Amino acid sequence: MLESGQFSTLTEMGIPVWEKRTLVSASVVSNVISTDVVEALPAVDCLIAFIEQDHSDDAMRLLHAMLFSVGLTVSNSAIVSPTQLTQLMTSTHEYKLLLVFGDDLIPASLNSQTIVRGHVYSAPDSTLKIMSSLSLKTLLHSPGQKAIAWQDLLMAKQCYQQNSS
Amino acid sequence: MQAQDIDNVLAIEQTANEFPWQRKSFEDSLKSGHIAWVFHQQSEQIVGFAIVQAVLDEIHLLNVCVEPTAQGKGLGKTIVQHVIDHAKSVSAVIILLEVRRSNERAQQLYLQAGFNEMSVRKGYYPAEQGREDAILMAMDLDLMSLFKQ
Repeated sequence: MLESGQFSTLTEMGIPVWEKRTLVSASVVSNVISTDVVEALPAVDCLIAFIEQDHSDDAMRLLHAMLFSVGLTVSNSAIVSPTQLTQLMTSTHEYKLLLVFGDDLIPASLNSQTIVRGHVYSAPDSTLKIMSSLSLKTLLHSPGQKAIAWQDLLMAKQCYQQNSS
Repeated sequence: MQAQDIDNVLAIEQTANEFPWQRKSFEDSLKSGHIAWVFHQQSEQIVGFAIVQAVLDEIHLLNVCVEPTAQGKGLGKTIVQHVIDHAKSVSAVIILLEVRRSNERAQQLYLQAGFNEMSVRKGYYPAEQGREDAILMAMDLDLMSLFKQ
């Protein structure tokens, strides 16, 4: 990554420099929780978990677009931390859907079942439905895999609608 | 676009296209949650519409149509710009569409709006005599952001 001083040097050398702008600000999903206590999560329907490195501007933009494409919105979704993810498996709550982007985030308490991407699972002691899909990082690096993620999201949407009715 | 608009939308579609969408296509589109807009001029009468589908961070322009007597007044440009603005607002990175090879007027509209031709789908559309190619066009919004605020 070039520093601002290097940009101007290149410009002075007659080398055109273009700055890549981000389409939407990184704060597209506002319900980002700073605490690891699951009770602090807002009253939303859908929870989203993804690995820490996926919090880049591009990943957040992709996440926003993905939620929109299946009728979920920023206002009815919240991002959970890996710690909260584990707590969710045993706490009493009324969340309807947990979307996990990246198989390696699935809590150990669920791993008695073999978690397969593209399938819907139930949390052990609640009505929460859990679905795993490809990580945002994978989708950003391999856009050809978006078709797989799209099928996962359609299934998640169906599951969410069934769980809401 | 609401279900009650379909009669008017269908009339425009049938007037403007040789191979129009059928009523069921519009109904299925609304049921599937596709995003659809109708456009009015001074009167309440619908003179154009657009239907798009969001697929992850892509926007697919499925149908755009202007009532023939309202064509040539910039409405098509307004509708396409509306679709572009919508795509940006939902963080899409690309808008994709297909257009008949013979529909040069539409292709020109899309080119002027900033779309580029990507590829050709041979014999994609039914035509009066056999099949007709589809031109696949796209607008890369990530790339466009390099040039516009």
